[in-house]
Amino acid sequence: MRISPTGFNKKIRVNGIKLSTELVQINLLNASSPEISRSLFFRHLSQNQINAPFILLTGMEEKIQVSCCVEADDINRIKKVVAEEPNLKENVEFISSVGALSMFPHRSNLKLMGLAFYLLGGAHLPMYGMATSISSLTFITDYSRLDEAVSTFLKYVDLPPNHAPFRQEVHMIQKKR
Amino acid sequence: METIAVYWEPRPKTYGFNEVTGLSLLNIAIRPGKMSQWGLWLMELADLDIGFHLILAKYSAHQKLRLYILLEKFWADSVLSSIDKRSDLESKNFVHLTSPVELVSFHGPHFGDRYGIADSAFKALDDQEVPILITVCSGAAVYIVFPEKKLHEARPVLAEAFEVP
Repeated sequence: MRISPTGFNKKIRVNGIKLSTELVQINLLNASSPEISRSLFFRHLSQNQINAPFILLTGMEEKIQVSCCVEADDINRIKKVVAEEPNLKENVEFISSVGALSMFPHRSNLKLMGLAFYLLGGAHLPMYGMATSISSLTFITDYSRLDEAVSTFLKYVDLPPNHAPFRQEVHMIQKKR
Repeated sequence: METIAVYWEPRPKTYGFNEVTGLSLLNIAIRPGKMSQWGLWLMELADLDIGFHLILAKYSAHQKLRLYILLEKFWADSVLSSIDKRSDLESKNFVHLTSPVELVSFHGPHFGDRYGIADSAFKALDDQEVPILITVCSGAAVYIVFPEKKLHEARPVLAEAFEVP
């Protein structure tokens, strides 16, 4: 693998890498009334008390208007809801067993994001979605390849000496009583 | 070990809304096989110290990755010029700029762990027909980008849907 000397000549310092539990990605395709299918989809998630910790929404003109991730444990409930809703069942697709890798902080600098594109593309690791939040850059790839993704990144990013990539251990669930 | 906490609120609380206007939304369609090359070009852009407000990448259709970069409007020309110098002719045709655009972002307690936050935001905005360009909900943060002059329509709607301190 070749790194352009002008684009990358020293390791990028990050303070941490976090890996998610197993997730399922849901893609909501554009229907004849995209706003209605979007509203319907999120209303059903809410009514069924299903959290989507990662949501990407783009313009109505795109074939896939929403990509979001839910916990793998929730997928059967979602499939049931979708199957029973005529306005959704033709417009939803699932990518099973995905995981999120978050690196922080991104410092609002394009270098970490460019590196992610460069490395994931070079290693042929799938990238189903990517976004920044307040301080972290998160991307979605195959759950079974998260460790491979970490190893790939560790060649080009520096972690503090006392830090190792960690998996989420505390799992918060909100339930209505 | 399981710990149960009981908490109820009529409207989700936020820590307040952050609004930014005068932004540009760069939209790049990336063909399969071009991801690594775009990674290099983006790393070179980073050398110009161009900051961003938000990054989103997702498939717009199967095999069509689309990257959105939200940045200050005054950076837009430099970025386009830099891409123009570096990228090949074919890739340039897949770069599109929407400008100006407006951003509202907010976060709240355990937003990333709770259901219904996105539904509250989309329902409020869709009911009032406020158009959305892109949205990211990641961790406890929500980012919504609007076309020019739509933020003032979104502001009261979101303030109604969420409790602002």
